[in-house]
Amino acid sequence: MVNGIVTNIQRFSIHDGPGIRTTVFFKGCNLRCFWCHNPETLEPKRQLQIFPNRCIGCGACFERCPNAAHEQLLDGRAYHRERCEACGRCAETCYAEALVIAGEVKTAQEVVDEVLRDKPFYETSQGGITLSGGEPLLQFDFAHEILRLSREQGLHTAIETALHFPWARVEAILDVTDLVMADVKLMDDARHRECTGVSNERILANLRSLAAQGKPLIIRTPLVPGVNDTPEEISAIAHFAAELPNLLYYELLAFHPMASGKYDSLGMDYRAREIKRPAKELMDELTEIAAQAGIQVKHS
Amino acid sequence: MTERIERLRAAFLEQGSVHSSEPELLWGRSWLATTREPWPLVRRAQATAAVLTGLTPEIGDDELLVGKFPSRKLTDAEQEELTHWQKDASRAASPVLGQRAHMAIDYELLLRHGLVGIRERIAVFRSRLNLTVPSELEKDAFYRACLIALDGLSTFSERYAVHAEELAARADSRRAMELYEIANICRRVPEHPATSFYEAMQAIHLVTFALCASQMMLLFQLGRPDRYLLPYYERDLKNGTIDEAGAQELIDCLCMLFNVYTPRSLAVGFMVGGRDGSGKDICNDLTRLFLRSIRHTRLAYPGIGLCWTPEMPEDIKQLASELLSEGLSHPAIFNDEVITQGMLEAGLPPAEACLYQHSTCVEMTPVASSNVYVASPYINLLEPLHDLLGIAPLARGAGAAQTQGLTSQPADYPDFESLLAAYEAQLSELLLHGVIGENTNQMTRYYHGGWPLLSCFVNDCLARGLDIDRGGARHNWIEPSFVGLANLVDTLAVIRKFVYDEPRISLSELAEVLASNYAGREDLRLMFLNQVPKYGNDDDSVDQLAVRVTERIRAECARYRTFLGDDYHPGLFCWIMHERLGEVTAASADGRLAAQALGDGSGPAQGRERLGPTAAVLSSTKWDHTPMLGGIAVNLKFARTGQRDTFAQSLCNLVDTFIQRGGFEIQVNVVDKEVLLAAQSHPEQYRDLVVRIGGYSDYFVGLSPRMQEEIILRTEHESL
Repeated sequence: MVNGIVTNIQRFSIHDGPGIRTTVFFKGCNLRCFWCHNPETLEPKRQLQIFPNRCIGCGACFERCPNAAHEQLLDGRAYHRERCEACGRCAETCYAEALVIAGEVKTAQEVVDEVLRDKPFYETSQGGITLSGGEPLLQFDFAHEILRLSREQGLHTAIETALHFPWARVEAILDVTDLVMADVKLMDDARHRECTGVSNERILANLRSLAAQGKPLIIRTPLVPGVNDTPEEISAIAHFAAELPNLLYYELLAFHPMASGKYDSLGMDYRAREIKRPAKELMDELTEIAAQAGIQVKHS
Repeated sequence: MTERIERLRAAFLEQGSVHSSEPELLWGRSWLATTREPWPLVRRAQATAAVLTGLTPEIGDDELLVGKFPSRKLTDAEQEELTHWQKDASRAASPVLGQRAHMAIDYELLLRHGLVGIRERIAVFRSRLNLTVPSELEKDAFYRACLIALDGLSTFSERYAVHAEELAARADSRRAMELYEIANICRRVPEHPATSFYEAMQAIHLVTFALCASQMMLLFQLGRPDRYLLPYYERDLKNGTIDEAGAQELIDCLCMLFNVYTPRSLAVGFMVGGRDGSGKDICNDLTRLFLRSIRHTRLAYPGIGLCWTPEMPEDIKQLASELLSEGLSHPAIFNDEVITQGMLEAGLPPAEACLYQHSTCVEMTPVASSNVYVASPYINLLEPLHDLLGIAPLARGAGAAQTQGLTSQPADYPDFESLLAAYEAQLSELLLHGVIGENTNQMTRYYHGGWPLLSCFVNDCLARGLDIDRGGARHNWIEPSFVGLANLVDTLAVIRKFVYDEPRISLSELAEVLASNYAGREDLRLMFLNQVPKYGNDDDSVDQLAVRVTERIRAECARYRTFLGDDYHPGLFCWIMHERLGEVTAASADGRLAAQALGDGSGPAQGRERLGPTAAVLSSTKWDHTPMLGGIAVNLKFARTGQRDTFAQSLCNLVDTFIQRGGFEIQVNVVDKEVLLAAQSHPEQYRDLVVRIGGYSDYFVGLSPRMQEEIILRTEHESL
C-alpha cells in the first residue's frame, strides 16, 4: 500500500472547493513563501512542535527522551532541536499537549477511510476531498492513490498545488482530479523568486496547459501586504487568469498573522511576523479591480 | 423593517421587559373578598376575573397590538396591602406546585369561535348535565367557574378599547386613527370570531397575555401561527385590506411584545413550517414573514422553531441558513419527521402528531390539548456516578475551592460492566425520586389547583367538564430532562480505560482525586482529558456509551405513569441547568474541574470537539432521538467567516445532513469570539447581543460571568 506523510485531516472545510469537504494536508513543500500560513507542512519529515504555555512542568519528557533533547535546568528547561529525532516519545507522555508531533505517516487507504466518515455530508452538499499542504504533488503516488480511491467512492476530488513541476507530473494527476486550485502569487519572475524561492515560469506554463485540457480551475492569490497588495499586481494576475477559459473564479485570500505561534513552536524564523492583515476596504477595492478583467472574483 | 419597529426595539432596549405586582395584588384582594364562596375552583375563577377587570390597561406609543403589564408603581397603600397578602394572607391559599404554562392553547378555536362561541359550547355541555349525579354537579361548578373567568376576559378587552379611545382623544390625528382602530378591534375580538388578519393577531396576543397576567403564569407559546393565521392573511390580501408589508409590521409588533412582557433568561415563542397530517409540507408566505421578523426584532424572544422537512421550499431553507449565518440566534431547526414519528409512537393520531410545539426551549408538547410538565425535573447524569464513588455534591455558590473527603469508599466493581450496571441502577433510583416528586406535584394540583380560564382553551377540558389540573387535558405527560450526557459518557470512557483496560489508577484513588478537585494531579486531569476519545468526535468507542445510556433512560422513563395516568417522556436538554447543576458537581473523571458547567444539550461537551461540526453531528445522531420528546438540543458554535454565502450554503447542507440522520433539533450560533470578549469588557455597548444557550437564547451581557466564560469556551468550528 502506498503511504505518505500528512499533518492534518481537516473536516468541514468549506472554502477549499465546492460543498462540505475534507482537506488532507500533505507535509513537504518545494516553495518557501516567507508568509506561509502552514509552516508545519514545509519539511517532508516529522517535527516536534513545542507550546510552552501549555506546559505544566511535570517533567515526563526529560525521562522519556533517548537523546536528551529535553534538558532540565535549574531555572527551567531547554530543548535542543539539533538532538531531536522527532521520535515522538515525549509527545506521547505529554498529556498537556505542550509537545506535539507534526506529521503522521499513513497509507492512502487510511486517509481515505478517515475522509469517508463524512460521506453523508458530501452527499448533501456535493462536496468531497481536497488535497492541500504543503505540496501534494511532491508525494505523487500517495496523492494519486488517495484521489483514485476517493473517486471510486463517488467523491468530488480537488487538489491545491503550487504547480511548480514539469507538466508531465501535473498531467498525470488529472485523471483522478475534478478540480485544480492553484496560486498565482506574483507575475514578476524576479519578485516571485525573491518571495517564494522559485521561478514562476513553470507555474504559469502549467496553468496554460491546464487551460488547454479544460480542467476546472480556481486561481487564488494570498494577498500579502508589501508583496502583492497593489492594484497593478492584482490587475496583472487577474488579466492573466482571464485568458484561461477553464477558470471557475479567481479568489483573493487575505494574509493573516495567526501563524506566528506555529513558527515559534517549530523554532523557525518568521519574516512575516510584523505584517498585518489587509484591511477589508483594500480587499474590496482589489476585488473590484480584479473583476474588471471580466472574471468572477471572490475574497475571504 | 419599518421605523415603527426600529423605535419599538430601541424603546425595549432602553426600558427592558416590564412587570407588575398589580395582578398579585388584585388576585389577593379578590381571594380575601370571596371567603364565602364554598367551591375553590369558582373562587379561583373570581380571582382570575378580578385581575382581568382591575389590571391597568397600558398602550405604548407606536404599538399596533395591545396587552402588556402596566409600568405604573403601586401606591404605598397598595404596596402595604400586597405585602400583607404575600407575607400572611396568601398562606391560607394552597401553593401551586409543579409546572405552569409551557403549552400552546387552541388558537384556532379562539379565532374561529370567539368567546361567544366558547360560551355557547359551555351552555350546550351544561344543558346535558344531570345535576342529581354527584360528578355532574361538580362539572356544573367547573362550567360556572369557566364563565366567570371568560367574563373577566371580555371586560379586559373592553377596558383596552376604552383606554385606546381615551388616548386617541389626546393623540395627533395619525396616531388617533390607529388608536380608534385598536379600540374597534378590541371590541370585536376576542369576543367574536376574528374577521381579519389584524383582528386575529390582536386576539391571539390579548388572550395569551391575559392567561399570563390573570393566572400569574408565564411562557405560553403561540403554537403554529403560520397555519391558523393563514386563512385571515390570504383573505385580507385578496380583499386588498392588507399587503405584505402591513402584515410584516403586525408580525414584528407581535414578536416585539414577547420581549416586553417576558422576563429575561426564559424562552417563549412559536413554530413555523412542517407538514400537515397527510404529510404535505405547509410552508407558506406567513412562514417567510415570521422568519423575516427574526431579522427585524433581533432580540432573545420569540424563540422561533423551524420544522425542517426534506421537501421544504429551497428559499426557506436558504432564508433560515442566512439568518443563522448573519449571527442571529433563531430559528432553531427541528426535525419534523423525527418529532412527528415520536408523537405517533406516543399515541397521537397523524393529524395531531404533526402539531407539536417546543414548549419553551425544545420540549415537545402537542398544541391545543396539553397539560404537560416539561423539564420536570432536571436530572444530573453525573450525580448517580458520584454517589457510587462516595463523592458528595458541592455547596452552591462555594465554587471550586471547596474540597472534601469521601462520604464512603466506592464498592469493588470487578469489571467495567459491573460498574456500569451499578450506575444504571443508581440512575434508576434517582429517576424514581423524581417521578414521585412530580407525581406529588400533580396530585397537589389535582386537589388544590384549578385554572378555569386556561381550561376554556385546552382540549378536552370543556367537553369532559374537567379542569386542566384535574385531568381535563388530552395529554398529561411529564418530561424529565437529563443533563450532562457528554460528561457522563466521557467520564465512563476514562474509567473504562484507566481503571479497567489499561489500569493506571484504582476506583478509590480516582474518587479521592476527584473529591480533591485534582489537587496536585493536573497531569492526571490532562491525561483523562486528552488521552481518551471524547463524545462528539465520531469515535464509536465512546459514542456507543451514549447509545447505551440513552436507551436506558428511555426504558426507565417508560416504566412510570404520571399521577393523571399518562406517560413519562425523557429529554436531554438543559436550558441553564448545565451551569446550575455543574456548580454543585465535584470534579469528574472526564477532566472537568469542580463547579464547572456540564455539557450543554446533547452534543459534545464544551471545548472537546476536535474534529469539527461534521463529527459532532455524526456522534450526536448515533442514538435514537425519536422517543426523546422531552427535547434534545445540539448546539453548534461557529466563528464568523468571510464568505457568508458559502458559509450559509454549507450550514444549510450541514443541517440537511443532521436531519437526514435523524437528529431532533440543532441550533447554531455564529459569533465572533472577539465580539464576545468586547462585550465582556463593554457590556453597555452590547445590550442586544443574543447568544444561543442550552435550547434557548439569552442576552450575553446579562449572563453570569461563569456562563459568559462557558459560552466563549464552547468550541468554535473554525472554517478558514
